[in-house]
Amino acid sequence: MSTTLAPPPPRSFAAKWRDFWFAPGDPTTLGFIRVVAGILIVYLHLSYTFDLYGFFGKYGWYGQEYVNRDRHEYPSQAMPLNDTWDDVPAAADVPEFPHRKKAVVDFINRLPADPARRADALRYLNRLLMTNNSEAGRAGLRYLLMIFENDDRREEALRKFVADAPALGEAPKAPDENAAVPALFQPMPKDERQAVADEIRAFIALLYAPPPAGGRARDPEDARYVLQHLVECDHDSLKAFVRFLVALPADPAEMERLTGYLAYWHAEPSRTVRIGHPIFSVWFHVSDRPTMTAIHFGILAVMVLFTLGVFTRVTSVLTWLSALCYIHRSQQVLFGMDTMMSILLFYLMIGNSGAALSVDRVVQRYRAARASIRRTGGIDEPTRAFLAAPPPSVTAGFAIRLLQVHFCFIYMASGMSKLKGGAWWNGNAIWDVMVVPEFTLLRYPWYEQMMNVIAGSKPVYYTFISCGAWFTLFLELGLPFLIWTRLRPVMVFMATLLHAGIGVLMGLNLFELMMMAMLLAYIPGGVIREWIRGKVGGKPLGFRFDGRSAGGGRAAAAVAAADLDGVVRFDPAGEIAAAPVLTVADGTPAAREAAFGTLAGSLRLLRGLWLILLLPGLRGWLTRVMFPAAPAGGEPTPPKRGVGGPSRPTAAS
Amino acid sequence: MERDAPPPVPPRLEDVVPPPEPAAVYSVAAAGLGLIGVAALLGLAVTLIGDRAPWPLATARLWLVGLGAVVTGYAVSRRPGLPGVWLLAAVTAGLAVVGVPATWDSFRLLFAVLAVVAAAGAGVVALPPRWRVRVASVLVLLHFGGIFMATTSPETQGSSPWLTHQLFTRVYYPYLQFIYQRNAYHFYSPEPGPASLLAFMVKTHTGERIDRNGITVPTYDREWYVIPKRPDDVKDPLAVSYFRRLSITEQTAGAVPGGYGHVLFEADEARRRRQLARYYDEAAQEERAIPFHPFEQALAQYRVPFPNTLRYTLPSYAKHVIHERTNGGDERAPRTTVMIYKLVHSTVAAHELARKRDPVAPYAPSTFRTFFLGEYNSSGELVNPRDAMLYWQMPIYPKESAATGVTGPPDPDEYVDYLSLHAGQKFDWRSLR
Repeated sequence: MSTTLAPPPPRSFAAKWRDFWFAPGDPTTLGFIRVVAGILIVYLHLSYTFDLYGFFGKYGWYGQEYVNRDRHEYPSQAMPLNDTWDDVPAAADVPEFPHRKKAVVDFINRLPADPARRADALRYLNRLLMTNNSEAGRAGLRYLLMIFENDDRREEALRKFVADAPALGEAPKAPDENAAVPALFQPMPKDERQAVADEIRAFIALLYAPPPAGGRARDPEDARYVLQHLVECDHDSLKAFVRFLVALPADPAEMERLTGYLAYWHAEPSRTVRIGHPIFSVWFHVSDRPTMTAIHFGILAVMVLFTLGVFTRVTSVLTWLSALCYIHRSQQVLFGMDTMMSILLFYLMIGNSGAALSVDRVVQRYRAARASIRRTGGIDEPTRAFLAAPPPSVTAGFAIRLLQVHFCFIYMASGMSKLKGGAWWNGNAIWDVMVVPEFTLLRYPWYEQMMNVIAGSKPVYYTFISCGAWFTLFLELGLPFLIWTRLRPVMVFMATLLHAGIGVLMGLNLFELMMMAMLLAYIPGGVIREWIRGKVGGKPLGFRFDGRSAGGGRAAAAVAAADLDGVVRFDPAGEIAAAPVLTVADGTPAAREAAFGTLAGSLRLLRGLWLILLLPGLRGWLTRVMFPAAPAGGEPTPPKRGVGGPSRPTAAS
Repeated sequence: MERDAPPPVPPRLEDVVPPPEPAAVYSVAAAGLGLIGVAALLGLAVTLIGDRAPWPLATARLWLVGLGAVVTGYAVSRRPGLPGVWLLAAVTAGLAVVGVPATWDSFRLLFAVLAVVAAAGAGVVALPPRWRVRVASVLVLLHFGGIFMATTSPETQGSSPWLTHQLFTRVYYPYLQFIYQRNAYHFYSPEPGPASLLAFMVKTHTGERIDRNGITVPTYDREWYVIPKRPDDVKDPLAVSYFRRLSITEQTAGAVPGGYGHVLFEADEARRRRQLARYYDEAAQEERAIPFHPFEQALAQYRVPFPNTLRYTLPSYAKHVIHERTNGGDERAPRTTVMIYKLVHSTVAAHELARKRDPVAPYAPSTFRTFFLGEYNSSGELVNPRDAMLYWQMPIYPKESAATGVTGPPDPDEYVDYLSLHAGQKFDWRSLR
């Protein structure tokens, strides 16, 4: 007989794709990630308690008025889809510096409401734009800068401007760049210059115009700021600015809205792809402290339930939405850790992360055992398999794949972006990262001394930083490929090493713990179960019960739910027991309280709950559930109609 | 792809535990729908009543919608394979859009999104398994397409790829922003940079006095406030609160390359104003000039923050600090202003740290490149946009007489410190370690 296995039949790409993404996966991995990430997330949000009002309150670092305006009005702008190389779009803008911005905005607000009058007053600017020559236009504006300030000098200059026009029939002279009159106007005949002078007068009158509601004329300095802004605009920007001015509606309220938007966002609403941010948060709407505190602790309670795996399908969604409430409200306080958290929560919500290592799983174990006892009077083979390990599920496998692939994206992007920096090529980046005083341990003299020792010897220094940079680059660029090979354990170990190192040396411990939680996605569920199970010791226990009685069935199901390691052997009573009995290894039965004590000492789940079992009445209640008293007369209670299987216990249990 | 082959298959949950009857699931979902329906009816009543509607109605609507959403979610989780329950959830979420008070507009958005997701969920669940896989595959590709766009969105040499720009802005941004997965993951790249601190000089006007030259001088209560600061800002064992403050300061770290050099007139004026910069010397009771930093190029000493920092971030920070430092905006707030300084803490190069002669101490005052970001009032407005030192570096450097070759913590008194002089109160450099 040949020992060589036949090669597997070739599979299509579609089959490989399907098997990669949609093969059922062990939910233990996802459940373990939920527990680890849940603890970190609860901590992360608990730490907000100290800064709840400072970060999310009305007068937070990023105040509510700012964030509300942000989410309602923020302009998303994009280059046009079908522009040409020559057609670079420009938008109207106002100066960045507050005093200059105010002058320009005031100028816009004082424009005539009547579009015809407004267009008439802006004829000079349109004339400059029609030249399609940026420098000529700028010269025309600089000319205004020279003459705008003093009425008498301006009138004198304009009279001269008209008077110096070439006489009719005179041969045009070559433009003189040094002359006061811009080259653009030099060849113009007298009547055309007269028209230009009138346009200049109209525009300058606009610069000094009082507000429409009445008031004093503008300061010459403000007028200068407006002119300087126009000079600083390139041809396209000036064109866009004038277009904006001309297109302003006649309705004063609408005009003010558009001007206000331009002043605040430096954008025109009509030239945006979208306005506002698609974000939500309870902190946009709540600002009084007692309510904020109550909501915050309510959210923490939901997160604790999620971590424990209580109603995980619901609490995972609520936890994700709650975390986004904090994230969306105050992005100024976020860093990489929050990004990792949102990734983890998103995928933990997609997969059923409560199918393992959760209260939900304990409840399922109880329900499965109870159903089996009802069906068969004992715990049948499928149920025992179900109790031994959570069943694989497509959503669990899918969520784990999403996490794995996303992690590769993170590493690849991080590694590729580092290749742009010279400091990662020559290694100096490692030093720069390790001596940032605000992040690292440099405030401790011993750390500074250590850095001194490294820097004190060139060979040591260069070996250290080069190896550090190479290790980082190799890992970030190599892991996305090598993690899918048999080198996976090595890559996981190296990545853990990297994150542990960053966490300790740079203080970004929670960020790195989040990254490590993501790394858990590469660990098979069986391995995690083995880690958690450890070495199961202790003497085996027996649990004799009457599978036909409701109390006995409930008791056995409760014990089966709590027996995570399968140390209890269930005996559905060859001879009918009036009440469930726990037997230790030598077959000695234990009394009710003693029996529960033995169980609580032997089953890991109950051992882990010792603190909770101290709650008054809980221990007694559990004792009554697991070891109910024999019914009066000792007769077993028949199972409910329609839910039980055969009343005789089966050998399979 | 075979590395994650599943273990021997245990039975599915539904094989060992009978799933709940559809009727039971639908009745739970209907209860959720009912709760939200009542909220919507209350909303209708509020619309009819108008402004006279009592405020508890809004609170009741919020509770009903919240409870109804959780109940409906629970129903879906009981039997996620039932298309009908997804459809009912979609209707419920749609109704929640009107059930939520109008002032809670962001939750209207949330429920609208949930309605779409639930409707899509109903469609997917109703599909045969083969088609379900196809739809899920498309969604996977779209999702990671977005992640890829996010990773390639940061600009390199002034622009990002055209395709990324278009797809990210037009298609993916709402999705990635909503689920907060638009990070590019460019950690410490292209090169690690220094961290920044923010120092706030909170000044409350208390009155006036006549100095010995007969000039009226305003008097202030002054207080330094610095973030982040150890140990004050380390409020939890893992120092998350401290790092969050580093993120707050990081928002102001960037500067426009060239300091708006293209803005000819303002740059020119800023240079002229800088020549005239003065501070009031309390000891001498006279104004004195603030020189340029002697060891740095004059142009490099002018760093204008990014536009968003100027427009919203700094005004908001100023309002926050004044509000906090005046006990929630008490009667001092209108008399209080805050001068904001950015302290860019340069990292010490290996040769500077280890050299035998004049080693640089990592926390020496001269390692902080300090820029004045303006003085703001309690409304978040710049008190003087034409301040002579606005966006200019404060000269901080060792005195010529400073001892050289001395190891150990530096003595701040050995430094010329125009930050303290400009702010009018000594800055405690030692507290930064």
